[in-house]
Amino acid sequence: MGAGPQAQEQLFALRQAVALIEGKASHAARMAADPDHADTALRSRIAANPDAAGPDAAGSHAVGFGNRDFDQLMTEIAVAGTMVEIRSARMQDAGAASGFAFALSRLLDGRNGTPRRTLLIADPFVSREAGILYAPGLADFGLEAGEVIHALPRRTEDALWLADAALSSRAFSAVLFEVHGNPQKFGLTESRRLSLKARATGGTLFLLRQSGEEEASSASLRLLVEPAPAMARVLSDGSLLGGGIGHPVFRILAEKSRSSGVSALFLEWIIHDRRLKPICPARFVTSSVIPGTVSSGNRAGSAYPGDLLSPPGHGQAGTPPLGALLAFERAS
Amino acid sequence: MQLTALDEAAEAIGLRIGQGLAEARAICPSLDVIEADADADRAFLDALADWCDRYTPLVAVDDENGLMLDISGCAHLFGGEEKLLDDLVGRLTCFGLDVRGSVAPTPGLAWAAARFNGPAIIPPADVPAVLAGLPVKALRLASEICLKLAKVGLKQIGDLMTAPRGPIMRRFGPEPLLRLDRAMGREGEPISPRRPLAMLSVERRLAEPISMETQILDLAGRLACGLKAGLQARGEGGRLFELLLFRVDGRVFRIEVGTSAPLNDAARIRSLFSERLSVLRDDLDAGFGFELIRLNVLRSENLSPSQPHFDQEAEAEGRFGRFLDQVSARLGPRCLTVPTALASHWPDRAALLQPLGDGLPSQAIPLPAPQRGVRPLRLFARPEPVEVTAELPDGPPAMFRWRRSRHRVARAEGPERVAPEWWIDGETRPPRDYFRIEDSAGHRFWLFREGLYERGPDHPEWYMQGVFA
Repeated sequence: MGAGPQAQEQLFALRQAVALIEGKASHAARMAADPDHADTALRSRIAANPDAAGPDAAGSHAVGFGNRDFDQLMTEIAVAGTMVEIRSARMQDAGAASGFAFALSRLLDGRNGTPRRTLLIADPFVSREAGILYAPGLADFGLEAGEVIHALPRRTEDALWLADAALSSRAFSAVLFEVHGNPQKFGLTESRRLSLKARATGGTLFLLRQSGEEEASSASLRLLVEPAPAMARVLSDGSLLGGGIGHPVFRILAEKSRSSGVSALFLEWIIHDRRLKPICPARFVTSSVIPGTVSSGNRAGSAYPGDLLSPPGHGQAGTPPLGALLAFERAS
Repeated sequence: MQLTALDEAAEAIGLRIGQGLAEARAICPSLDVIEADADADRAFLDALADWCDRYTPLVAVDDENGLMLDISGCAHLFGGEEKLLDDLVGRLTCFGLDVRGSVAPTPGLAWAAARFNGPAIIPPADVPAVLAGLPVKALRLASEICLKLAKVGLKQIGDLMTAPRGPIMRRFGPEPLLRLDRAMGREGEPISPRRPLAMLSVERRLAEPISMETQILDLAGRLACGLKAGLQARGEGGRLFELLLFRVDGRVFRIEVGTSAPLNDAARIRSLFSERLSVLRDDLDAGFGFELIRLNVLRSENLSPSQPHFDQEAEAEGRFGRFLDQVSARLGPRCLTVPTALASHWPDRAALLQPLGDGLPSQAIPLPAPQRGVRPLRLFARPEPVEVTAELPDGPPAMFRWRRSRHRVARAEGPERVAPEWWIDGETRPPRDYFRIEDSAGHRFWLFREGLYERGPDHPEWYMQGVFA
């Protein structure tokens, strides 16, 4: 938003529009007072119509950029036989991390003919602190009945054996292994054993580290998940319900990945379509604005660029030109 | 304090059961007295009954010092009734017990003959003759009835047999004649065995005891092959298998394994037992080895033979079933659960983690989704209290403090009023207003306010029940 008075004017106009839609004085006042949520209107506009956001909104370049990162990320995850570590920094973010893990597991189709079935090996401490899976909540998140199997072993050894047996049996399309923090009993050796087993059997293991520090593990991809303000609800005529909490949005940071240069992403989980879609808030837009750089043209016409298993043939514009990335929050 | 049991040396001195302890010590100062422990005796008798399982599965505990075995159909395996009885009594004597046994067509006669020095084997033809010679006490009658009968002159069972039935029924009640009829075989007497009868059973006696786990598992696999023919003949598969290991010193170990689908494949049965043994390894003390191994099928179900498919889907279901069995054998049947929604609108009771004992629950006709607000992904076991600043009387929270951290509310959806189920919670339980809250950082919570501001004198309380993705 540091691009000058023009952007500020646009922002103010958007705020007005939002207040009009909501119609409630207290809500509008709250929204206007909180600068963080001024992004929501902009984001939702872009999300509703990504290609129309092209030249006039300041975020056009970053939309394409985010898509490429998203493609890279999804191709890394979709490779059979991987172990992906999903980390949440605090226990407060445990809900977001679990939701993101379930979203990823839902995207993985049954391979080798297995029906789509996920096993969650829960941790007793996390279940006490962050709650247990709730069946109506799972249904509202987009997962069907009978798709998720839940296990709560008391000891880490039992949990490790369960993960091993689940991967060997090839009966699950994804296994979610939840640990709390960085326990002694789950170190590099155990994670290496699990990753080798995943590679040998072609299954996918998501290691869900709740409120844990970064730790060297054998995962080929490590993601830090944080919750982000949700998208507004979309009404039947296409407009947005101001003040409504719609689809959940996650902020993903790739801490360790095979492909370099994957930066932070904001992903929205569209429940009724069961897809993840990258969105970009204006915050990231400012760091990468260079007029004239075109990378969003390839994406024109596709409302959902993030198909997990589609080949990344189209849309890759190659590496961004030097100087397009400025001032990232994290030097990865 | 009285004496309840004596050994041969004490009987030789002249002590009697029921004699006072002081008197007994006076007669024999160097008497060795051990306090009676009824529970330990009972446990020992149970262990002996377990051991007698090798002869017949129908074993009942009889009083405090006897066992009743139903050996119909089993005697030929040991070369006849006489050999069976000799083997049994001989082994028990080797354990150090003083045993008397007898084989008879009816339980009553067997009981009588064993305790009152009757003959060891009583063929059916000799039943009246043998019975006639035994005293009336041998019919397991109460001592008062025996005294009354003795006063009348009926001291032996033979007298009772020849006496007219009507007057005896009138004077002494139905008991004596009932017992007599049962002993004669005119009326049936059921024995209630300690354990249910297995459907199919295969056993192997070993000339040399084994104690290693691999040997036990190999044998179990071979026994399972033997079971397969029997199960296939009936068109069934086993659901609950039991492996009995008889140790040389008499202790019996039972290991049970259940499956989620009917099974008759020997390799899978063996693998299930290997999972179970890996957990029970420490509890199973082989001692000097096991001399007899038996595999029972306790429960079975119809198993229709199915043709193996070329496509992968049917095989996938088989893989899941195998995984389920493996986990049940190792970690118990309640380890794997599936979240199921229940038919209740009250959020605490709307869902349940149902154990997958018998495989995935079959897909019922999907009910239409209920009209309700969005539910959280994770729900706390108990709602946690929250301090909230909210608009009165029913506005959403503006700021709240939960687990010692403050959250500022950016957006809120609600209220969704949920009325309590008055048929369960009673009519005085207040309704709840649920709010879906997003704070300034993006965390999404599910809060509720219990109670209304206008009604009642107490202030409503705010609680946190779940978190969204």
